[in-house]
Amino acid sequence: MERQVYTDMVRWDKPSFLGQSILYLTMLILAVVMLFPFLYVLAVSFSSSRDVADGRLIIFPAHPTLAAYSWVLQGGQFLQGLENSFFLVGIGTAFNMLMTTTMAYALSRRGVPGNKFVLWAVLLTLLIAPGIITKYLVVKQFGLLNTLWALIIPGAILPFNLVVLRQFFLSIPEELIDSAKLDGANDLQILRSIVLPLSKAALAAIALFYAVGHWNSFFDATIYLNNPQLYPVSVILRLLVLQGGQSMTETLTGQTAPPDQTVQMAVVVLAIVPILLIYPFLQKYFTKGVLTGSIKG
Amino acid sequence: MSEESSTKIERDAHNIQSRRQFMRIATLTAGSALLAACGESQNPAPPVPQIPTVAPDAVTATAQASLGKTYFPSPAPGVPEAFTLPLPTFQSVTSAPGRGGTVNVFSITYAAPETPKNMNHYWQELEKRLNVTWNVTYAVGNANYSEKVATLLASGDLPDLFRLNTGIAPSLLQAIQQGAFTDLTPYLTGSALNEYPNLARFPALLWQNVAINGKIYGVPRPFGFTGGTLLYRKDWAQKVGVPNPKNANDFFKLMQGFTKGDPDGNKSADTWGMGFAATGIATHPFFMNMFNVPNQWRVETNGSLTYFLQTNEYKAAVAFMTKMFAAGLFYPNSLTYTGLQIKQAFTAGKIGSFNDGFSTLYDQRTKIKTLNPNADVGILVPFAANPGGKANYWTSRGFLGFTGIPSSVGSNADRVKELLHILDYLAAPTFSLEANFLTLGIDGWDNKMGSQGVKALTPTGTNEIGNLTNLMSGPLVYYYPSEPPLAPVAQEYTRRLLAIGVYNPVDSLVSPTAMKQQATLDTLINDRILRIVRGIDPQSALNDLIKQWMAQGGTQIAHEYAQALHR
Amino acid sequence: MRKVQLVRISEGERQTISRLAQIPTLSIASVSPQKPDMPPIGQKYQELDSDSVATKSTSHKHSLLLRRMWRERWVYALLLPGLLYFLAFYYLPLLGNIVAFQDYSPYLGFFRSPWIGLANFARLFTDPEIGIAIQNTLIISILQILFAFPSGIALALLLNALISERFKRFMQSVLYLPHFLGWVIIISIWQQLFGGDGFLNHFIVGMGGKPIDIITNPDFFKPMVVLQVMWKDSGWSTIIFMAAITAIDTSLYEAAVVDGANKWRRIWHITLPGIRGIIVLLLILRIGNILSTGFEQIFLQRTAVGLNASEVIDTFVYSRALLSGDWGFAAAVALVKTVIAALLVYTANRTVKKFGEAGLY
Repeated sequence: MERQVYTDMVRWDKPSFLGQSILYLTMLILAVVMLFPFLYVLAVSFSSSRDVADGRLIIFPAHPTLAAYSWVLQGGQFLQGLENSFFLVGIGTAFNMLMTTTMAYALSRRGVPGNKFVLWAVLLTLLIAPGIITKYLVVKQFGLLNTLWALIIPGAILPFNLVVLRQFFLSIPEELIDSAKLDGANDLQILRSIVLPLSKAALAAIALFYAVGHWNSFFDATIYLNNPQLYPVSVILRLLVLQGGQSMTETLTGQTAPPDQTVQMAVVVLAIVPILLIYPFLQKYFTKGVLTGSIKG
Repeated sequence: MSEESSTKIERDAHNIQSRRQFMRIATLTAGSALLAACGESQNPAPPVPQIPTVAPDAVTATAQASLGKTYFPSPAPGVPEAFTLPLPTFQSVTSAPGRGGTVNVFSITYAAPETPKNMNHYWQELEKRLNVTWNVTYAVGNANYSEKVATLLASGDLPDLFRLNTGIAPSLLQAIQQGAFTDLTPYLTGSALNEYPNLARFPALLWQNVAINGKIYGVPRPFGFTGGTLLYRKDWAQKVGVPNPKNANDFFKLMQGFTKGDPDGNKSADTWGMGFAATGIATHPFFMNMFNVPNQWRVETNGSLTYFLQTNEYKAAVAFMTKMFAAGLFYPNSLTYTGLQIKQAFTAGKIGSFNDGFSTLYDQRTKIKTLNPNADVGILVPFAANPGGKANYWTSRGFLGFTGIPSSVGSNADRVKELLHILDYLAAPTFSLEANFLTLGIDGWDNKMGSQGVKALTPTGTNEIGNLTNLMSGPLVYYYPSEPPLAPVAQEYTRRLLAIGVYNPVDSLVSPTAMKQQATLDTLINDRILRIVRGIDPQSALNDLIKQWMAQGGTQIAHEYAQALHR
Repeated sequence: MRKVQLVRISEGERQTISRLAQIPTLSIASVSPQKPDMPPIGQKYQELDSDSVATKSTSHKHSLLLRRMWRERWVYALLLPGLLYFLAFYYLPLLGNIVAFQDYSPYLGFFRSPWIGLANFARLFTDPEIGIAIQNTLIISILQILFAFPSGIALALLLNALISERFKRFMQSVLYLPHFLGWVIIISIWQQLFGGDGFLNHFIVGMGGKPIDIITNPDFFKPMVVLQVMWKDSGWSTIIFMAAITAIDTSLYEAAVVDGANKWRRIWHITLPGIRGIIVLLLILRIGNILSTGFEQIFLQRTAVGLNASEVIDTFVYSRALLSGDWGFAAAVALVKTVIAALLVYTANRTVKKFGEAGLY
């Protein structure tokens, strides 16, 4: 099959200079608005107690220091949390994609008896939220408590992601699938060799949703995990913020924690940076599309 | 003169000797810790060795000798003892409390996870001294507590020791009423309590307050009877010329001075009189205290209960708060800030006063001094709003949660006693061998001797000790190694506060309607009062609020509490 | 050799393309360039439903059915794991919503908690604050649908119009960043900027003006909430739309350019219709969720503006149910929300289909 690569608009007509400048200006303003709070977060995370003393807005700390970061990292819990989170993001997302892709494909097939019923059942789950206690009892029943799998299996398929992916699969031209079926391929092979390669953008998007969801998962971890060594990084960071905010008691620490705000911001930065590193790998799927080719005669 | 100096010499000698003893004990314990570190023994740990410490009589003698100099005994019920120097180490428990099995604990953590047990010397030594295997499950901060408790109760996976805090999770009251936790009253009252020497040291009021409808369901974790207290910048008060406010008018002037009088001397109007966390405005302790508003409820002579909301005193308090708000004396960000943020604003020198727990005094003094060496933080003891009137002080129950034993565990009396002995160990008083270990860990490893002969935790220590035993502690004592003279000052503040203290008469009582409705009513009341204080609603809106409160369950609650009171 | 391929397209699509063409030439669908026209995402095919072949006896139908099921066995195999998952982790816990009819206490559990029938539901209707909660929830949701929802689409279109690939990628990364900040931090920063003692007011007062009241102003609360959501999630929501846009057949664009369509017409007639399916899908889902707003965002900011302006259903449930441990009431509210959401989704779907669109199912 021939593949046609998505081409830039520039090949089709001449862009107007005015139009593009307005566009760029708008984009730049947006960029500033979106980025500004991050600069603030970054600035505070590198501030010392004197900088935050009067509580004013800081862009460039006058006395930069790594105190907040070294305090957060010194106990080694952050690294342990990272390990757990990487497991969740890696294995978890893979599991998610496996489950979601297969079901989304199956639900996108038309004319399969019973499919509509299952689709209805799935759509209903979009609107249901199981209660905390019952979910806990079910997870316990399946023996998943206090393992990282408790954060993966109960969340294996997010109904929203499933429905969206199915929508993308629906748009794959029926002809391609029909002709492959005529050639004797079964659905599994079709999924693997036709549908998936044509859905890379959608798959990347859904994978990103799952990955970020795993990275941010906090609540489930606090409920299902008892062993603190299993805490993902989101829980560790929240605890570090709590720890930094504790009052100093009389007999205690020889080392003073850095100011609460700087610790809080350092934690925010540490929570964001690793996941931002994943994004460039997925980005290429969003800017270039790989489109279906023709059925050559 | 010579008498004084000989006493001083005696005292120094005594202290040196006790310090030497301290060191000896330290090396002994360090030795056993090293032994523990070398291997994880699978055998049940032997009983705690009888380390020579100062005998109880000698401790008392030392205390007597230092009376008024380095030791200030409690002047009134509920006021903690104060020390400017530590007592010699003494043993408060004669044998290991545990019988060698496993103890599962549920508590709340406020810090990153502790070092895992197999690398944690403190944890291993703790297990040795308690003679049990010590496992802890945590709720992650207060916010996680309610849900975690609900899942634990629903699943039936209950630990042996369960940290209960009905303040954070009011729904626990229901579970307690339904029999989820053992009734420990027979174990902890009368002569039975003497089996647990450290628990017997708790103030009697503590046991009274932790009881629910007359039954004791857990061992309280002592915290001091002080409640919400107003901290303020004494140096600012000096500067603006109101160092000693005596009534509401003075106070208003003080606040005005803080706001408009440029107390930090930087020529810009960037300071305010007071900051508050908006979620607590309805019962802001200082204003309640100035106007003698009853502590939540007042018992009338005919036995009925009046809610603070319904009293004339409260009306006056709200009017005053409105006046202050209208004059712009409150920090504008108060409406959006959390308690922690307000505290930060105080440290940053934006506000001149704020309300917090008493223990913040030391915390704020230390933090502010690092930024501004001339700053002086003190506590404003409430005074009557109007001359001839009365002021009060809303005291607290004296504890921060209590530890219960689930009824599934509590059916075995021997097990209950063992667990209580363990709690007894953890409740060791300050300066005892046990308390020093629990808070400071292994000498030379978890803590190091700092400047001025004060021990301080090392980073390793902080990570090893963590919150492992935070469900229990000894009675509160004022001792600030880095600022010793503060201890008697704090004690004097506390004495003055508790002297005008009023307790909440329904604290240990249960009202079924309150269990269901209190949270909603509190939110409602706070919302409406904030509107009045801000001037959005007129003062008359208070009457409407009272009616609404009565209709939405208030009358019922008052009735139920009154019944419970006179049972 | 070129093959002329007749492809089924919907009437709407054909009209679109002919409108685009503006000249009475053959509609594009009937002439093939190198490849046949592929309808954009979301267009549903008209399918030949073999069930509609009438006049077969029942037993014949039965065996037909079984044969079809056997033919589709692979689909069933692919369906099975997901189906089991939903049964185990959604439908099984759903049984737990039985507590809506109980005065549930976790300690007593399902079997020992007393039954109180519809009392929890009755409370829903008699609570004086429920009216305000519903009103606020609806207003905020509708504002979000009107403003926040299209902003993602608009951003996606803007991104798509960028020429420089590198700048486009840079912008995408930047636009996604706000999604990663938690509400606690966002609100804290917002307060620093717009609070009574915030940056903006310092600036205004410095210029000689009077401080303005943004955060504590009850009238501004709902727009403020929506603005915050737009800041946080507009960029993130472009992901789906960008994925959809990349899947639009480029030959459509080429043909349109050939026919003289400029940039705006291309957007209106190709890009937007191309992602229409996804837009409709997301819109239906959003409408279904109209009774939900974010909890944390509103909870953190509501004290300053008062309950009248800020109480939504989720915060309503929080104080009444979760704080007091009234799980039964919380379950009752959840059930009612689900029923209403289901009705809304059903209605929205029917309406959408009446307009000739492909619906949710």
